[in-house]
Amino acid sequence: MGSSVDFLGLDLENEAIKYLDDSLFFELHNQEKLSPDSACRDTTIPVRQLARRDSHGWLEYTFLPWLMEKTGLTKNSLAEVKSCLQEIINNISDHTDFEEGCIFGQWYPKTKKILITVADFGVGIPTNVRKVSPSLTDTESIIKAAEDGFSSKSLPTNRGAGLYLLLLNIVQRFEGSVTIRSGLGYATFVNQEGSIYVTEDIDCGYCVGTTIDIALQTDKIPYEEDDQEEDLEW
Amino acid sequence: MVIKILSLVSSCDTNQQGVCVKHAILDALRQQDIVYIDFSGVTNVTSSFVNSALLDLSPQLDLDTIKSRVRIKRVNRQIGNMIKDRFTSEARLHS
Repeated sequence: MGSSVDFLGLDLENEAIKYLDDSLFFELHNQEKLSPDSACRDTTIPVRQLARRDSHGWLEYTFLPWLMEKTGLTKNSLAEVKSCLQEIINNISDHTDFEEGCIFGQWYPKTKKILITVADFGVGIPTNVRKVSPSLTDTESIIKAAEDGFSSKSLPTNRGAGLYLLLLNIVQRFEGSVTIRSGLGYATFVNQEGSIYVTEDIDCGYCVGTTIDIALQTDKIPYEEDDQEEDLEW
Repeated sequence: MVIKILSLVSSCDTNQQGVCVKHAILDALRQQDIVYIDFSGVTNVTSSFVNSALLDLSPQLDLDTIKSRVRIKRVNRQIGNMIKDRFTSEARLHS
């Protein structure tokens, strides 16, 4: 079962449409590009569906080499970014009936900025959070889901760390931002004087499933050589 | 005794991989007072892995005992921070 989608009346000269076509959006969802001249841009990691079983290989052998080449950073320097994406992808299969999510990345060389979006079409964060906190709004549910230790216990092994660690690494340590949309909820987490600060917007439309946008200045990521290993000091 | 992570699992991404490491640690702790876990060659770990491999030792051992008997060797920044972050959160939840 599924839906058939037709793209009608699209302006092929529109820059946004060209961008989507170059990002292989139409090829993914409609099995063909709008224009035969469209091609993936050098600064883009094209949109693709990603299942958990394939995610480690794709992150290790496609995404990470691309990001290392663009940023000049080592694999060790980008380990937190890779780990955060792996956590998000793990969450999709832990908390939804879907095995796959969608992922897309855009590198901005002039500003040394990377934008990464991961989306799924599951039941969404509010539905899962309200199983244990039924009175929360959609936005409050997103904020609750990001608290350290909060878990909707979709699986008995879950300890509620994934979203919290995403914010701890991307927002607090690397001074980036994370925006989460799910249902009618919307929350952006930013670094304010070293702490995680959340802004809310309750009028942003409806998001099926969950969409997570990560924005990072890569020059804020501390450099670490790949052979730099040491014993853990508690 | 030294347990090399990459001799047990190909990566450190999932609960299942963590469970495999946990069983190896428990077996080693029955024979030795102190066990060394060598992460050389591993570039990143997920919270699911750390939860299953290390925090799930807690029914048998309390967190301070795990820290003193299970020594973590050759980690990069991400792995070191992830292990410390997860132990800090777990200790806070149970305090």
